[in-house]
Amino acid sequence: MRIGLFVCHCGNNIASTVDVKKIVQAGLKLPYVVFATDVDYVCSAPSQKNIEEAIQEKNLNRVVIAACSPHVHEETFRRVLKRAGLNPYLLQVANIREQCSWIHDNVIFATIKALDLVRMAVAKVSHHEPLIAPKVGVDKRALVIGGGIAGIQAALDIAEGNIPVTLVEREPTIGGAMAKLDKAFPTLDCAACILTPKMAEVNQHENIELMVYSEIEDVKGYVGNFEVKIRKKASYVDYEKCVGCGICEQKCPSKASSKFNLGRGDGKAIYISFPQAVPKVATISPKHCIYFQRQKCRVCEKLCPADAVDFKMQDEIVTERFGAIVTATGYSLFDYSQYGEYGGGRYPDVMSGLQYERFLSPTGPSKGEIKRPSDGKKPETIVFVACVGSRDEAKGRPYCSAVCCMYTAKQAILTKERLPESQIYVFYIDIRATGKLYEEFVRRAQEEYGVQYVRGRVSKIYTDNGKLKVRGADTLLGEPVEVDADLVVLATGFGASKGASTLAKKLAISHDSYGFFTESHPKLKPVETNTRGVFLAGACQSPKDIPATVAQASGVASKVLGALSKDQIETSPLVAAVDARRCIGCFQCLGVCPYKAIEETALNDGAKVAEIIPTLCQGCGLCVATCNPGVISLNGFTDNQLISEVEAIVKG
Amino acid sequence: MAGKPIEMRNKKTKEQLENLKTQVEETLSQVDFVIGYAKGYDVLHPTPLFVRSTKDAQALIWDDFCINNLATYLPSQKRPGGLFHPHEKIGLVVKGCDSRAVIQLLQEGIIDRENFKIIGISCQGKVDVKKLKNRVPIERVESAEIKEGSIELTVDSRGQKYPLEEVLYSKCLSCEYPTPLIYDRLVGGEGSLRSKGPKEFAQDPYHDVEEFEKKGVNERLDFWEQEFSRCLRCYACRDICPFCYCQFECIAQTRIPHWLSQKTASKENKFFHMFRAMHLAGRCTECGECERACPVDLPLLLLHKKMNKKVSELFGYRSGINPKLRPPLTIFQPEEKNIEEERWE
Amino acid sequence: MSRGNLEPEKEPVKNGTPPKIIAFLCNWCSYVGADMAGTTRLKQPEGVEVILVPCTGRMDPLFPMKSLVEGAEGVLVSGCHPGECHHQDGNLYARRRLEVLKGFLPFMGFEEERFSYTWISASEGKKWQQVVTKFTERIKSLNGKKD
Repeated sequence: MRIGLFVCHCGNNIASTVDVKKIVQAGLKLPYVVFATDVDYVCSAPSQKNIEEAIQEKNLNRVVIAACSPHVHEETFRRVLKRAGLNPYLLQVANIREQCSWIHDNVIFATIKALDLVRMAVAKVSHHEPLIAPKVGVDKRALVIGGGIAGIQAALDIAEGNIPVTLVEREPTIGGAMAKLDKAFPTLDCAACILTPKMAEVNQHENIELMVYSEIEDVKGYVGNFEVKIRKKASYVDYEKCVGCGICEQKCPSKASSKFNLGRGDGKAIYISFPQAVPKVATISPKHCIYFQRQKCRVCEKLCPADAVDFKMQDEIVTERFGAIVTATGYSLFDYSQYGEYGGGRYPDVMSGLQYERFLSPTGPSKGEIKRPSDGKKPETIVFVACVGSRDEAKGRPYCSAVCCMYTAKQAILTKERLPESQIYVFYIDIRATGKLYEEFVRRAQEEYGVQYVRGRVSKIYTDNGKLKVRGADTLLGEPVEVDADLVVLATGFGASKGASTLAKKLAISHDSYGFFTESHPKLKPVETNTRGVFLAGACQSPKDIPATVAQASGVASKVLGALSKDQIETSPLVAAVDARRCIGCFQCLGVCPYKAIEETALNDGAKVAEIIPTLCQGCGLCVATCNPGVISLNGFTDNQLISEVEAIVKG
Repeated sequence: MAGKPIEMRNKKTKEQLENLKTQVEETLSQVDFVIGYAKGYDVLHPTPLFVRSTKDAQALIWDDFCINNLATYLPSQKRPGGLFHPHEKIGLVVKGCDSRAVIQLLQEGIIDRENFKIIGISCQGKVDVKKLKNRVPIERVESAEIKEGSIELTVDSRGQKYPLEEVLYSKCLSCEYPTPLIYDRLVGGEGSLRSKGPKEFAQDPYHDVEEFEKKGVNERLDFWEQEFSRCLRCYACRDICPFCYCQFECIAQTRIPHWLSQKTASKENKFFHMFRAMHLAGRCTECGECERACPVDLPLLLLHKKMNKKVSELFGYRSGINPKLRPPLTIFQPEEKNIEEERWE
Repeated sequence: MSRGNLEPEKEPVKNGTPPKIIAFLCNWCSYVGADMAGTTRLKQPEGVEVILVPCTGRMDPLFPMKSLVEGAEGVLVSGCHPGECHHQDGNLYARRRLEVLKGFLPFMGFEEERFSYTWISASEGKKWQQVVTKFTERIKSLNGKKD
């Protein structure tokens, strides 16, 4: 064995606290180390070239690089080994920057520790074996989960790249939250006017299969080879037959509240979400349907000209294969009733921003007329409260929802345009208007439209004499403020979509404590997840506005097209393997594997042993820790590799 | 304390033998052989007997020294190259404590229920030869019989007598399952002896663990240092254990993985017994065969009982009771109600 | 190979030698958290040596056990918060196994303070600093008691 050691100065980053020369000297005396040198910036192009040459000239067959975290440059150095003709997995990185030089001041102790880290790396690398990445075929089809603007954009861009896409949406129509908006900031263009053409395009695109009123049941497999079970929920209307004429909805005698209008406004048990719904088909809500509740009625069935109503319909589960998956499941609004002091849910004239948006919309419950829900009167004074369920530790929402400042300004402007005489107050903490033309937009609200911005939190909203008394403080003036309002709009923040964590589990991706899906790297891999082949677009990753969502969705499409451009892809060789001759066949591993990657197989002598399917294995090592006789080993993290690290530390 | 029930013990034991022979003979028609007990090199050391014919069955014995946990043989069915041919069906004579090992092996999926028959036998406690050893030169014992709550020995043609509670195995003094929990045939009648015999000496099964826990941490460290310095690493404890069915693949001796060297240094010995305890956590059924087999009398059961006590406190789980449960360290609960994690904030 | 190469400089500060602690960190969260602590220059005791594992599910309790038997003064394991395991539930299996180990170590003569496990996410660099600092202090005071 011939190990080469390269110790990086990283300019001053390492060399100021670690005596790099000393590490090289001491490193040369470590077992099997035949070459050691220090390098200014080991990641630079000339240094990479030098390593390649050293590998060839000194005939090195293992390499240790003491530098920054392996999370930063391990891949870079693997490629260096590969170029030098060495198996890329014969590399070990000692993290002497993030976990040594940057966290210590004492040069002597830092140098001792750096040497420990190098000794561990040398000990471990001597147990490395060449590894070959398994190759798997690729199903050149993509699944997009969620039919909001993120999912629509991603599906269209992927489909344009000539990859078939299945778009799954759990509601009966695509469009998501954007379809509920009246206008979009900061240009005030009509949201429907820019969204509905895209919805129609999805419906007509030859590469897109649309599955509405469907949910993901189960996901198996891995990048290039996902097997997904999709539950098509019983809609009790045959979508193939329904022509969307709406007669059923007109004649349905039931009463329900409109889900699309977020409970504001009437609906029916059989409904088409909104006039531009895609697909434009009716769906029955059994909870509200008179027939389902009392076994009488069936008016819709009788009147349907297309004979599309089918009360016997059952959920159906279909299984499809995909090479890549995009989650674009959006967000859910903060439940304003958590602020009991604001009276949301108790007072009809206190509503959420999105509910108010429905009142502004021509397709909403008031056909775009601004009316108080309680008495239908035109409001004269309207108060907007920002940061309801955002930037509030006490409510478990310490983060900024990124869009509320802007949509509040937009709604204030739209209100002023329709009710020029109205008085509008916005209670805010800070104004976050960082996008292109955003600050200008907020200024317009204040200066051009005369919206009164009051800096301070609202402490209480209560009714008095038919008015909503909004009590708060103006923290700029340092005075208490009280406004008599006719209508209060709470700018509710974003939370994770309902069922996000369940979906995350099915996809084996992670989410933060709020339920937003975690990207692979906050800066450099914003649309990837830690599960290869699963990508993120839009507000399911973090609260974001439409421009950012669309940009991310197009980004995701390029990633998906890239992943599906090859006929075969390499999977990680850092997977587990069973030494079949030693396996005792207890199969405890089989029960714990989260990826169903372990199977029972028989040896020639009839003995039953465990076998790991390398392309299914994700390399977590749970089976290894479960195997008492140590028959399973995990490439890169074998027992002997980890033991050698422990011994290097304690015996050092 | 003792008295009448103990008298019954002896009579029962003798009656049981005749019944046992009949049951073994009948079982022979269903299996290839039955494992029971025969007289060993002296009266105190019965030895396992492989009964393949009715003639063999005449050599069967059942007395107060039949301690071997015969369930240890069962995992050999699993793998070719084991102790006997994998297609052979086995009959097994099993005491209450041994039956827990059978259940645990079933739970671990290491044996198939169709491949063996259990002849359960109710037990009233066995005499610990190691305890006798401190009192008499056991190599000169000519006969031994339990009478009137005592054991009566003939040593060098002279009678000697010791109270039962002094010489029964500790595990028998805290026995909860004198009748096997699983069997195809039962000798001795279910529960008929349960309220008598060893129950009267009943101790908390973990009293010794609790006693040891009361010692200071350094005292405990020194204790084990000293004990393990005597270990020969002969692996008798492992080889006799019904759950150490990894056998030749045991990581005590492998190079891949290389957990420990063959040095019999105290540190190496300590790690061997510690990892063995970890591997047996929630699996060991506390039959005590490891301790019995140990040539230097290491208190090994203490380790395994500590593990089981912890597992029972944390997960409310006891090994070898219910074949349908999963071993507690191969499952989890999203909320572990008995685990209080350290808070670092 | 020993630390002997650095002996001349080591001598004057010998009394302050930080206790040797082995930390097993999950690749997906705590290791990244520890990196983040570095990126933000959060100072930490020098005796903590990190071993990277792909998931706490990989944590065979034998590793901490071996570390302590071989002479490590303390062992820490840290993974993703319950419910956030990159590999679904590896940390929840680990919790059971490590908890049993934690209960067993004192029985064998290791002070219970010498082993701990916790959850540190990729964004909790600050928490990592706090945990290793407190843990090191704890080990120091144990060592003080022994002398």
